[in-house]
Amino acid sequence: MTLKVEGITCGYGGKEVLHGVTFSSDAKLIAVVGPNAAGKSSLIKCIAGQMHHGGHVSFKGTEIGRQEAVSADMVGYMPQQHMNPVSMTVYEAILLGRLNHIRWSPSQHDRRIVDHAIHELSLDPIADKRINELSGGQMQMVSIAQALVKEPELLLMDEPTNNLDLQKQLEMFEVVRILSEQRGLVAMMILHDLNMASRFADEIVVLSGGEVYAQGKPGEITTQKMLRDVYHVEADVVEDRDGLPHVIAYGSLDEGGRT
Amino acid sequence: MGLEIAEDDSLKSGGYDSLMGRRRLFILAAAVACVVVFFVDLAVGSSGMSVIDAFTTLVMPGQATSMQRLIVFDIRLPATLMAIGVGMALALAGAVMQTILDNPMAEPYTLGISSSAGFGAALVIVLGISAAGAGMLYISIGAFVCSMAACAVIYLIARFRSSDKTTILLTGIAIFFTFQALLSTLQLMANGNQLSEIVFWMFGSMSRATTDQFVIVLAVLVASSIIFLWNSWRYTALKLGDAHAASLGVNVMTLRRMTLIVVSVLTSVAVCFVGTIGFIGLISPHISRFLVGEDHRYYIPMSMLVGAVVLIVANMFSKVVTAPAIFPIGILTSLIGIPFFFYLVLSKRRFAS
Repeated sequence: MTLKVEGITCGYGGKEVLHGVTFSSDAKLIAVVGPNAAGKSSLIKCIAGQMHHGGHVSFKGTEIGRQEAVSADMVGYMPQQHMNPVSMTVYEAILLGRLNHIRWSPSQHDRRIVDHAIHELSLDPIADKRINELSGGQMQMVSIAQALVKEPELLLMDEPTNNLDLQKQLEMFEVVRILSEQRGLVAMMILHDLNMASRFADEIVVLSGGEVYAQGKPGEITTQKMLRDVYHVEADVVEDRDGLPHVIAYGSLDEGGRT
Repeated sequence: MGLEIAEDDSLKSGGYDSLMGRRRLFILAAAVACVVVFFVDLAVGSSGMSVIDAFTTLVMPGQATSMQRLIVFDIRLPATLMAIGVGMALALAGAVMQTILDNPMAEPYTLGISSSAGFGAALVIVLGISAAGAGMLYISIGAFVCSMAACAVIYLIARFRSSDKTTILLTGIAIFFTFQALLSTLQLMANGNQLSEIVFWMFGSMSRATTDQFVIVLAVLVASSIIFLWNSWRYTALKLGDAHAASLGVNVMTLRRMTLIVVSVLTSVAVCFVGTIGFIGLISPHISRFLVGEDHRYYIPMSMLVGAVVLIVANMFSKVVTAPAIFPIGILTSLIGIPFFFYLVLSKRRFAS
């Protein structure tokens, strides 16, 4: 198995958030879904070595889940938080993604990787703009570019579609997909939109209450039962023209809901 | 991205190169300004001397009169050099503190390092240890010990709370008020002579500086600036926020702790010889940021140069304002700094960044 997660536990101030999350996957594109407070961000942070945790994570046989793996550029992690609205330019911010390679002056190689990412993500028009002048969506794209120029083998993204319009979301997925095909990148993303998750991912991991509820292909995972059990919503699942599941949600099943 | 990147295609991003070019130019200009004010400052004093005379005396002492040599080397040079060293040290400390605490108000003064040094100096004065021959030395030692103690408290509390930046800042402010209160108590207990000596120390002064003291400040300054410059990319990454810096591979907690220790020594050494000089550590980084942006490879040296220029100019004014008496430099830095600072804050102008 490429990615193995075994018995991850973690918490904030004595309150346990993840109660032994275990799964493994050979998929290239993995989506993590689940309701609010299911522990999705915590799980990604633990895998990225950004949070103290119990249990083990390994990727291609190497133990990860430590800051060292991030420092060695094996693992890339894009946090959910926005960057501070600083006055550095978009180019400078993306260049920071090459931090572990730069001694004093960035090399031509580093500069080319940054140029390329800027081009791929269509950021050329704003490359010389300052971060504090950007819209939320533009800032998100800069964050994504920064994570990509690290050229990690495993890319972990915490809600990368935040603030992005439909076209930008699809573009972002496309760039990641091309990278996984060409360079063997494994990407794991937290997504809220189940339809986007089905479209993007080879495999979906459903988290609920700090545990894995289910794991599998989009078609197996996205079911009426799952939506009822995990999300507490009344919904239909139909097939789109590519045979992918598409969720049509009608209402909440909980007290106060319409159904 | 994954496509093979041909190593021979030219860089498309000309914007970055021209930005760096402009920043280098600003640094160069600041360095030139620093040298110019250095010589002007040597020429300014109660006994007149032209800038050219000051220059030739310094460069070719053999051709100067013994009087000129005495004035330049024994009276003016130690104070000017100290102004450079302390100006650079305080600005450098303020610059990295603003970065690691992610707060534009952070400087040695706000963390209580300066007020604890003031307390240490006052304690030595009131206890009468300074009555002995080596009075100034004991005052410096007292100031140094106290400010290091204050830093140790900040450091330990920060460590306890996993180097949380708000904790560090709040601890610093608590320490500032604590030592301020203790200092007032000492002033209440002091006799007339002691009181005026305490007040004089609190205002800050370059006039008692010696070359030996400058060498100590310089040594600490060089060591600290090398450490900070070595980490400049990490500091730049930290500007994006803790989470982003960590995601890029920066060990945020370690970096913050290490910086705190170096800043403590640097500031303590700087203030223990010349007294409390506020504002330099606050404004210099801001001016530097306006001029060269957030990239710490430029921001750090620029802050130091600005700090040096501001303190030399202040030193110059301190000799002129109430000549032949020397006006306290600590008051001047604020008086000179504040209007300029307001100009920068209120006018939305940015230069190179």
